[in-house]
Amino acid sequence: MDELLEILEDLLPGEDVENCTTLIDDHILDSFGILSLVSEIEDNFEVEISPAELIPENFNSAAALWDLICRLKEEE
Amino acid sequence: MEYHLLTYSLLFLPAVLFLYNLTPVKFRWVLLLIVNFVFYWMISGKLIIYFLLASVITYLTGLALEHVAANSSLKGKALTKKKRPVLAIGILLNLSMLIIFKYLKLVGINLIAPVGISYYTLQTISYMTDVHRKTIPADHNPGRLILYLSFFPQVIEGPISRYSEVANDLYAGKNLEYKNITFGYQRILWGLFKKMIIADHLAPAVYKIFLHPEQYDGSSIAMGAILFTTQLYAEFSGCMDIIIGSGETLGITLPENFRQPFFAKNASDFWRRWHITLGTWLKDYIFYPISLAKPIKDVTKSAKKKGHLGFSKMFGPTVSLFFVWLTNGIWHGAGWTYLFYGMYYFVLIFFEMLTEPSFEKFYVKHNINSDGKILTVLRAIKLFFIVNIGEMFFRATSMKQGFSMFKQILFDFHISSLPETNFGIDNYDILLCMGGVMLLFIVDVIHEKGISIREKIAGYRLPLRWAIWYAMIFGIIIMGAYGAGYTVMDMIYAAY
Repeated sequence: MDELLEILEDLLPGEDVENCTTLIDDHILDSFGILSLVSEIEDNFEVEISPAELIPENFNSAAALWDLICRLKEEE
Repeated sequence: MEYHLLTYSLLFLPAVLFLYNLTPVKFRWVLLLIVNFVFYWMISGKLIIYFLLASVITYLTGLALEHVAANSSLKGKALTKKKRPVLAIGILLNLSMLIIFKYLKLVGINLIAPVGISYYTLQTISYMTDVHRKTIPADHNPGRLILYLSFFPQVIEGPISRYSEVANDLYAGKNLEYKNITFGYQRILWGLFKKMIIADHLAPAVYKIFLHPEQYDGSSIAMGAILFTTQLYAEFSGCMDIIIGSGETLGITLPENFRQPFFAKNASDFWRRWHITLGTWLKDYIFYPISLAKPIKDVTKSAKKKGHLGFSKMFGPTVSLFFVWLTNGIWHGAGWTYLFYGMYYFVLIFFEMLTEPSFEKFYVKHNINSDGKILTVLRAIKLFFIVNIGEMFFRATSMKQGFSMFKQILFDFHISSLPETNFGIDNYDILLCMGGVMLLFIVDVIHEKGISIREKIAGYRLPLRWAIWYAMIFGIIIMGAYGAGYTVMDMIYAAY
């Protein structure tokens, strides 16, 4: 989780990434940001994220993202 | 029957509401389906057959995707790979109809396209792809699927909704509620105001300038471009108000298509606020899949390994962005001006993507508030130019005309001649439009602050509440652009 928070902090400096639950809904993370995040997650956690996973429910908060990573790890 | 005609809101919709209320809950979706067929038949006649064909293809593709998944021992990527040809066939069949009707004119074959084909085709693709992605299950009830694809308020010009957003609401047969009906009709009224008071009054002036722009100097042409942008915004967003309001009367929430676009920070933000459902469709079904495609990822990873970090970061989004804007352009029609329009925004958004980090660093370094008043005003002026230039090319009859208009604005601009220009509309119409645009601006400012005007008015005392709505009703009746001396204008976006 700490590694994920680090990635988010680098990508969104100044945002309360640990507690924010509206990263997508409040347009904090736009489509270009999502792609950068996906690239970082894929490199750091060795998972593959498909377009089907790019939905607000998976990207609105660090916790949701962590759940996604754990699920993808389990599926592999 | 088009939505802005009074027969729609005063006869058709009330009749639907009346019959809907008389129908037992479990059969209401059947009534809506029949209404959809009647409505589509009224606007498209025999061409309904192509709509039904697209619906059948979509339905069978959904079932086939589910069948492949259920009868395969494969999982994950291998299963996705196995299902892909089924999805590709479904998409190709539906796209081929769109191509035949919309683009064969490029080779001299002019066919009358079924109404709304550009919109319902995108909905069929989103449904099939979502089933493929397992975001939604395949619908085993063909009636429910067709109900989603054909919902009468949105079938002509969107909004482009997703199955997961509306199918269950449409099928549920919700009871009619006083608040839904009043709020829905208030929104319809606001839509009629924008369409009949602003857009239709401006239409003759726009038509006149774009018919023979060579007869005007640059200032009049610039004014023509501004008038067209205003007409298009009032028209398209007004029709959306009528459409979304119609859904609201039945308790069905359709997705929003506009969110105060002229308060955007830049071109990409503008497209997050203008024709929103087309933008999100392109994002979900073009931008992300291309960005995450294996060849793109391979190039990105290889560049990263070699230390080309900037290139690796930009490559995927740039390629995807190109295809998004190519699709956006040609979706509007078979014409060079539409292609130019798409590429125009591709270039602008690409440069925004490229320069934004540097600007942000600059603001931080020099302690400048990027949301301060001066920068906000400067950004609004820049966006005003960007949007109006784009719409001028979009409306031009050819690229040659577009460039010659642009040249006249640059090299033959005489502001002093503007008051002398005959725009083909009288002073009364000009004043009316100015008043209407001012009201539209105020409403957008209030909405941008997150205030719901209808909720606010609902909180007023009954006499004041009704006085406001009666003023609006009589305003449209007295000042609307219809009757002698006016032509009822078609819905612009119904043609795309």
